[in-house]
Amino acid sequence: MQTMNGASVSASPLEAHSAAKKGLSGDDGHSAALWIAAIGLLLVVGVPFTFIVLQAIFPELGRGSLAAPFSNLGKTLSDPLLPRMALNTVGLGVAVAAISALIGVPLAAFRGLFKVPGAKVWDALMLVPFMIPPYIATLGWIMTLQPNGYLQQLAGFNLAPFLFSLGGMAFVMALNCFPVIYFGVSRTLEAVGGRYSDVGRVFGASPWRAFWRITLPLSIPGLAASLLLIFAMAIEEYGTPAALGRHAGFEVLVTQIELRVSDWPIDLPGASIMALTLVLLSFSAFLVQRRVLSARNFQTTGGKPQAFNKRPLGPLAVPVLMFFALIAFLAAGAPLFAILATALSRTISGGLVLDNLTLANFSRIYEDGAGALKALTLSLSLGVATAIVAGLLGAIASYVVVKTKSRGRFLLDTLTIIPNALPGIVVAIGLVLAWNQPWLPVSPYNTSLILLLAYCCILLPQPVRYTTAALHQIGDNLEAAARVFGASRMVVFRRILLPLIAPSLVASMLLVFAVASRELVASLLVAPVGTHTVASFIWRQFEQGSVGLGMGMAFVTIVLTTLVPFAILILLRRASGHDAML
Amino acid sequence: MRISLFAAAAAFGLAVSSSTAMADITVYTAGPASLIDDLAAGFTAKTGVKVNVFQATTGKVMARIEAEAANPVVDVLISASWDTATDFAKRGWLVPYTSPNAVNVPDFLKTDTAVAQGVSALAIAWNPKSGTPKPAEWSDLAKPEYKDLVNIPDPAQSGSAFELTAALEAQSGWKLFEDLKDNGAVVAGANAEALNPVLQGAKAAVFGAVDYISLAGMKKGESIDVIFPASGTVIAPRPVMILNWSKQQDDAKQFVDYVLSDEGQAKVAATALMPARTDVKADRPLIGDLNILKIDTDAVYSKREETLGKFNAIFAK
Amino acid sequence: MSTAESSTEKPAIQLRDLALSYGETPILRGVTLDLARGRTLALLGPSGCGKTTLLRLLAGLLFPTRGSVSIDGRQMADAATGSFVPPERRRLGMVFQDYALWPHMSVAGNVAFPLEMAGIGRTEIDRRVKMALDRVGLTDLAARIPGDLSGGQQQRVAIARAIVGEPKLVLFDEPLSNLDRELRESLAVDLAQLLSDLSMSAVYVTHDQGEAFTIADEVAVMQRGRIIQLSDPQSLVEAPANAAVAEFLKLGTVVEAERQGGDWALAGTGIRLAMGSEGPADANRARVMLGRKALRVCPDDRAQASGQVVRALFRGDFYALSVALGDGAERVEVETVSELRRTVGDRVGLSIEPAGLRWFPAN
Repeated sequence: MQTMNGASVSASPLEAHSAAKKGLSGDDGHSAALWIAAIGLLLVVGVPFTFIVLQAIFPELGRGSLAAPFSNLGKTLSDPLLPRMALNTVGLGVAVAAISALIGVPLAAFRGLFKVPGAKVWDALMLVPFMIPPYIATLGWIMTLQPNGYLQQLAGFNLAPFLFSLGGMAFVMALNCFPVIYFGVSRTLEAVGGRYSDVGRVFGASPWRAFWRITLPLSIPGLAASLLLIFAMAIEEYGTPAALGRHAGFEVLVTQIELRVSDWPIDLPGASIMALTLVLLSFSAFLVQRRVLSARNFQTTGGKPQAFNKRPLGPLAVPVLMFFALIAFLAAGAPLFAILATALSRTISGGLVLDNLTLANFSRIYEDGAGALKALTLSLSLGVATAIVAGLLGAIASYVVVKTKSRGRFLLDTLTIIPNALPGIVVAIGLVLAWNQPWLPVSPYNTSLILLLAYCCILLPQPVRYTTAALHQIGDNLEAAARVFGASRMVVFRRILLPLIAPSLVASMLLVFAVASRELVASLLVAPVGTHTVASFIWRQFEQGSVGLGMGMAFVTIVLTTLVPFAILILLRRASGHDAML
Repeated sequence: MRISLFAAAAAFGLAVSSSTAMADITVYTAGPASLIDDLAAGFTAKTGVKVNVFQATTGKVMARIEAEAANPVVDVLISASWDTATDFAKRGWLVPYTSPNAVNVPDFLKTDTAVAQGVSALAIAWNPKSGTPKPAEWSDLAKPEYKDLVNIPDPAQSGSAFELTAALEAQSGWKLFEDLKDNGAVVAGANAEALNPVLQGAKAAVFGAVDYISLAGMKKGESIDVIFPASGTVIAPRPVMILNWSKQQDDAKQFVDYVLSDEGQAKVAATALMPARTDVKADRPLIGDLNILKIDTDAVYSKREETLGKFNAIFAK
Repeated sequence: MSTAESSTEKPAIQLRDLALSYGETPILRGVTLDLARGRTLALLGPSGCGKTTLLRLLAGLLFPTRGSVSIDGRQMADAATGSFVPPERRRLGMVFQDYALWPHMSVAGNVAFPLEMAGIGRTEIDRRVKMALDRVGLTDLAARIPGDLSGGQQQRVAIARAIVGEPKLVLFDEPLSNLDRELRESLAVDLAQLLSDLSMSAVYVTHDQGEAFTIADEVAVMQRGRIIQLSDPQSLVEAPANAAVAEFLKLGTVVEAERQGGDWALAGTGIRLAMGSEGPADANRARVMLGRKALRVCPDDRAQASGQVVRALFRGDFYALSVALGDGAERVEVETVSELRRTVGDRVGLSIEPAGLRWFPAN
């Protein structure tokens, strides 16, 4: 076994690591990062989460009272529905993660290890599912697959029984989630792939065996992280289970929470308790992942930079490209078609015929300047702000967690994982509860700042996961070298670590931008009065029965949130002169 | 560098939000968005008082008010469920006010503390292109022609759907719902969610659709028909209330006056709702044209959980 | 500190009872040493002996469990008081086994980094980077990315980076072990030249004695967390302090000896090694190292011992032989050389040169 950090002491590198950090604990740069991360995380995650917990305990919290503690706890916990819904939730999460892996791992393997023709184009296409709000995609699928839907209008049959089953629901959700694996795992495979599997082949493994025995096991931490993220995304998703699950008689925790929040009389304490059940589920998954990661701590980027030549696909080229095309069509093409078709229809009942075609919905978006364009501007600005704040906060937090051994590291880690399991709606309630207390002299409540806080809380896991994975891959000696050559921890972070994690960080920030600019549930609840985001605008159109106008706005948003990141990527690539950005 | 970026982002957030910070009056409404936008613009043009609007479903409006209970900002609330007016009055949260413009609002649409803005009714929304015969009665939808083609809005999510369930149950028991279930009817979310599949033709009809959404769709050219069964239906008056924590109660009262003015009621009628005032014309069936099922709201709402429980037991798979 | 101030010239390094353990596991068990300025110290020892740990303690990448570290008269770490100077304020240069070149910076960018950190102006940086790259012969590659270079070139970049800031002390962590033998030897010679030209103090960790002898003024042989001998390369070879050092340096075969009558003989055999007066005076048993010059193959009539060749390796101008002396349980293998060809199974006579023997106490 070769230890990459050159520690020839017999103790494990991990221990050597911990002693090194212990030695450096008294130093300023490090504690500055710790403080920034701690304050930021407490503000963004700790505050709303604390108030949700308090709300679960004190039902009268919203009125500023701590009366009757625990009076609701017993009632909610003894609800016979709770274990069933918890089970459904786990089942859905596992199903979505499994289907995502089935789709994503082969794609990632081909992308990471082989020369796939048009790789950058496929990357771009696989990003599109991220840009389509899940609720809209689901609506698109319903309009496509239901009886008399677009599929039936075009091909004469429908797939309603499949769509409205548990499998169909998990499949639709997986189409939205698998890019997490595609991007996460292909990058890991790229780093691991050629280098170690070539060694395996020298020792007699066929390419296939080398993949199974060497490359895949080395990619397990990356895969585990991606799967955990998908599991967490799936168990907190609202739109799809709400739209499809009810038909399948499948209630999950989140839909039940939403019901308790939107059903009069409102049961905030009950919703809080269920949200905590969700947190518990996700946290268990997190602990499992943590074990996987700590048991197999590979540093695949040593100090020795190495170029890696990917293999050509050979005779596999055609089937592989067909597979890429099929998935891209299902995940991006079909929902976009349904969205566009609906947006271009004069009436829904008119169907896909030429004289039902109209641009009226799009011209209304522009005429309706005050409403639609203002909502677009606000959402895009909030997207940018969230990307910056969540990106930097996430990067600093994961730096403290991965690269230092400070006390409170586990707390920070916990604070970054909690939002994974907090449905947007509960984050929103937590924020309202926290920031609408009468004794606060200044409050972001009723300003757009509260939307920023909500989005940051909901989306923080993205930059954290991406940068954590990237930081794990950076050999300790790259940092040690910079320290020896006179760089403080702060400078090491800025000059060495930040540039090395930049590709991952930028990718996650673009993702945050895309998701934040169309976040729905929290926007509905905490948007300042008189203010609309893109999502709440679209939602309002659906509620009003103007599905076409809503889909029109959805289409404009998807186009914008896709084009803006690409423009940024192209600019960055021009500026940096190499193509490490995607 | 990081700190300054953080600060910049925060400052940016404040800048974006500054436009909404100085509210004149704040209205929370569960009504149609186009209506409140219209009313707010008209009111501001007339009085110069700015209106900040939060529009969402009744459930989300309530969630916001409950969450804000410690530090409320809402001045005027327009709910889609009369039950809200009753409940808030009991809690003592409402300002007693009778608008001079409420003279022509029938007594059953006003109390000391609330007055209807407009009224919607529940109906059968039916797609004429669905290849099914035009239904006339609720019970028609349990016939084999409509097998697997009926959506029912979830009474747990829609106040009016709940009232219809309770009223029909009081009239003829649970048999109708059992028949519907046996005929493949599906409980499908809130109102718009239940309607969309009917528009595309995946389903033929909505059992208990909110009428104005379908009527507005009809005007737009959607293939949809709105049928009020002769056996009776329920109406959902939409109460306007002034909250007692409001610091702008005079402006709030002016707003209520405006909603009930000729101009305001004309805007209500334009969204295909029934105007609250009997003397305002509307291009749609009015209360007088419908057979209204009487319900004892107190009794019905006190049994809410039980009723929902039975309903869910029937439709659970 | 008092010891440092008492001397007129402050030593480059002063270690006092330096120890480090991970929980119950001791890695370094108390090292005390001084290194004078401008000298190069090699830490030599097998894997796990604690040499890299010692180096990382010097660098400030580890904090000692016990004892203290001073560099250039300045106290850097003291376990007793908890005082600690972080690595970036120790003004060091360091070369890593895995090079640790930053993959996102060009060669020049890597080399310029220590100067930037020292707050040196751009033009001065450019001048000194060029100078450092000149020294390692990489001027033409300044604009390249480290990933494009060969291993040897990468390590030259790492060396340039380590010396560019003219640090008080340069640390080398097995810098050549990833390179092939030829490159390793030539680079070791270049390094020795470089260090003497720059008269920098240096600590050089290696497990290769050839490298250590080429580069170092002083060599510390380490074993199980301790320094077992510290001296210049010459004395190390000529006077190993104990059998362990001798064995690690492969100076010869260490065998057991016992007094037989008045003379010392190879234990269990009647083979006479030396006169009684030559071994330890007041012992009956001892260990003795048979150095390369101690045994000679000679004609049988002059032989003091004879044995059977068990291995014979041709080494260009001589044969390296392993010869078994005695038989059965007492059989001992010794190493010698022969200019004539011998093959396995041959019996050879050996003469013993008492001057080539090194005596150590018995176990």
